[in-house]
Amino acid sequence: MKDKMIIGRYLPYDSYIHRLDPRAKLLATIFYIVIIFFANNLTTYFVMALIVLLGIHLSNIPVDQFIRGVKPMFWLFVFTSVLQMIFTPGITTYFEFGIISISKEGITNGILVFLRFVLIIFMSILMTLTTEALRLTDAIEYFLTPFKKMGLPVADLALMLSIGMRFVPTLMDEAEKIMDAQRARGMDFNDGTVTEKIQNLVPLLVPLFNRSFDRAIELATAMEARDYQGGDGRSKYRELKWSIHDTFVLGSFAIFFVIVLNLRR
Amino acid sequence: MDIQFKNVSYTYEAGTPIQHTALNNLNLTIKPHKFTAIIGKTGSGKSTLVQHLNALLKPTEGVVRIGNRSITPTTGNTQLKALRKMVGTVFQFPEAQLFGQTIAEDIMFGPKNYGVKPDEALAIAERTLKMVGLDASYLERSPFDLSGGQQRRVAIAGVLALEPEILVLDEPTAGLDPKGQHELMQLFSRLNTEMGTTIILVTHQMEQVAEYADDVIVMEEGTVAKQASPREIFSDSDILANNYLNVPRTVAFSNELAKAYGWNLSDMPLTTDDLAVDLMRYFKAKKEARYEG
Repeated sequence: MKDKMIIGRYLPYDSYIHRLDPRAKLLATIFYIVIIFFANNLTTYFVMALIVLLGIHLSNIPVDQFIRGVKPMFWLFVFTSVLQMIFTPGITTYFEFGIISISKEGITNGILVFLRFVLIIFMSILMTLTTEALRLTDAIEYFLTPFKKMGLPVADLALMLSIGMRFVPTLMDEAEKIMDAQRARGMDFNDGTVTEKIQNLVPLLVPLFNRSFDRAIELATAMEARDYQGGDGRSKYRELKWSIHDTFVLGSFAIFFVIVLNLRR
Repeated sequence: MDIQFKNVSYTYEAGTPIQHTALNNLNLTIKPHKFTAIIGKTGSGKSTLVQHLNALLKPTEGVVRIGNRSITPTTGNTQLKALRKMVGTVFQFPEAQLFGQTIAEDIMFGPKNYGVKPDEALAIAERTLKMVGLDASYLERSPFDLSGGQQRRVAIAGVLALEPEILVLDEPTAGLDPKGQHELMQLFSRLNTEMGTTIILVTHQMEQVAEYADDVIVMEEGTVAKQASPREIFSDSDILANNYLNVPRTVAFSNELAKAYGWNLSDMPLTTDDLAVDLMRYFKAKKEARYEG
């Protein structure tokens, strides 16, 4: 199962992208998603694809990792883009039946929607594969700091977030172990009708919840035993460091934005 | 039904920088109706080996043969369910797999997955619960109200309910008190001698190996370093030292006796009873030698 889950994983290569500040990567990813909604023709999508491919190239991570990340959602994307193709009214219509109409504009639109999904996923995977989850939490904490004045408990939120992130792999391991144990007792998680498949989750979820509560209590006890007093004013083991490369990357995204704005229809 | 591994390799996360080879061109045979112990230090591939025994993992290379079934890297998942009925597996801390609202429901889960009718499954549940030392009054209780040791027993009953021909146990007594450990080991031993169940036990406790095992497999870096009888393994000091393995208490005791007083016992005492007999024999021989001299 772990082999198949690409989203949320981190691959410890050493590359230009890996070394970037997590804040830069988070901003760049959000920026990318904003820009892609301005792209509306094949040329602009081509530019967007180039950006991702450049990023993948710089990250040293093999492309098949990214393709594996898209795979679980592939049919959802295909379904959505087919809907787009069928229901987009166009000028050059090839086929029409009731509300269904297939037109040149519809087909282009469908393809673009599909590309948009794939590119956004690629970009997000690029961020998570090259950034440790805890570093991303640091970045989110940094961006939340201004809201402290409004009474937002930023330190506590950051702690909750990082505990959450920290236990994702643990829970995955746990889930895998429980699935193994139930499969060893003849359970087939992929078998049966939809209702049966949902019922099949009970032998997985009940022990998983049970263990999670145990773990939460253990963790709270361990933190209290170490006299944890809340997160305000604590220093950090790893400080975030903004470098010239981070400014450069964000600067390039601004340029990409201008390019896309000029090339769009 | 014997078990055969032929040139089996298994790699985790193949093709990524964190890839890790857990089994490396492994060859072994486990004989039917025997009690086989698997030992080795942490990370030697014991648990990965165990997961191959009921095809939870398929080898990345090589063939695993269990009875007349072969598991290769390309074996389809649909053929594996029947295999898992023959090979029951008790994982580390099996109490983590409990989910039923009642103990009966939990134990009946396995048999029901193999199409056993509810009333028949209930009878099996009652029978296996008795085997692990809990009476029928527990059937309607929630497994989450039990103590850790009792939960362990219920979880083991849930595996025994499949009535497997081969029972794989991955450190089944870890974290139990000495009495609980002894009772469980006695249960596994009875299954082996009375019902002829093949037992495969992964353990760090050499006393268990000495007392119960017919055959021992020492794992080292994903391959078999040595497969022999406990007696042979515990007299091979190289293998023991290389794998950070101890000898059982009784063997250590007799070694100390030999070192401190020069008392050389005739046999290697694998259990406390053996040690008593050996010591008696030693004193008797000494006495006779004195009278004769």
